[in-house]
Amino acid sequence: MADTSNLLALFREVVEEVDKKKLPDVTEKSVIADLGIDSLSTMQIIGELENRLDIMIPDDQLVKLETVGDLLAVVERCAAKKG
Amino acid sequence: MGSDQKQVEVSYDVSNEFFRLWLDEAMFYTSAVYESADQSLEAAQRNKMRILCDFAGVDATSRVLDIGCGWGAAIEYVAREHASKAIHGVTLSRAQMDEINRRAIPGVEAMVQDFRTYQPTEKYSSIISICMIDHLCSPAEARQGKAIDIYREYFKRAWEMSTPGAKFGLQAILRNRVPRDKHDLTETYWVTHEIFPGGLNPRLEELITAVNPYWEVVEVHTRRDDYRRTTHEWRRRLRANEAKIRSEFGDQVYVDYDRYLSCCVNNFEKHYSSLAQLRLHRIDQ
Repeated sequence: MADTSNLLALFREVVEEVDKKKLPDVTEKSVIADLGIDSLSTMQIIGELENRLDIMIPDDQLVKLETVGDLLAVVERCAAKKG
Repeated sequence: MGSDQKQVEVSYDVSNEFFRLWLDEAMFYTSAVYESADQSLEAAQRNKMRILCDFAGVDATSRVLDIGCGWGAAIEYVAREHASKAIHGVTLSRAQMDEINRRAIPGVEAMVQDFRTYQPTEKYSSIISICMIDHLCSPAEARQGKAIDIYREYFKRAWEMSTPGAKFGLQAILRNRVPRDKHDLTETYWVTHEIFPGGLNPRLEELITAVNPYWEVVEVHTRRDDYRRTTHEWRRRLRANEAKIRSEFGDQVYVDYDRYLSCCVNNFEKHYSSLAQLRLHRIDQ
């Protein structure tokens, strides 16, 4: 399964595809809203990550997502459960 | 918190005559429950009320409160079918109150009142509330993790206004899963902000958590396809009245409501939204 650095690279790639934004300096500590990614784009990005990793993230795990690291932790947990 | 009076009036005060053109004859603006493939909307709405009145234990001896009584369709049903001892309704919409007054339903008393501050002189044995809870928590409050506390306060108020042994028939639209698709996201966001500002549908697990410690969940039914069918029928009737609506209420009203109902049909089809009916029994101290 993808480790966190791989997920960060995947996140960058997906943001570029979905939101047409290049994020060369993004880190896990980056605040999603500070990157100019609004709530609608965040859900599209989550959808694309789900497609790429073939997972379904329960919505109740998507509350209080502030940083990129928060989001990637949820993605990683779901992907790990998939095995 | 949730929809205030102005926001409720955005949702319900376009014009009573406008809503009359595409809702059923009694003007239920909530999901019906269909018993067969060819059942009419009117019959399915009466069926919905039969179920909720059963859940709420309504009979001739009941004191009934409808929290969020709309244009009075539910309290009118209770008056006609059960002639209960007391039948009261509260709504925040003045246009809906005008319609209830116009109907002059014998034995029914309704008021423009926030249920949170409503102080009945006598408590109720039966409570009905149909999709009013969907107005209580705003999207911002849900993001802050306040939803369950807000819903719990609603159940607490219902408990405070009820007598020992009271029954509660609750119907609520549910949010199941946020769309990931851009078009579906955009449309859902638009409906949430333009047609029903201030409100957000609860999740089923939030309701189940929030009823404690006031009400016991005795029975739950989800009726996603019934609401898909209801909104599909509303849209069919809206479209059948397109020319009249455009000429009397303006092009934008027609366009907006066609867009809104199309979003609803899609959201129920794709499991983004659903509907729940709960039979609740008061937990007495």
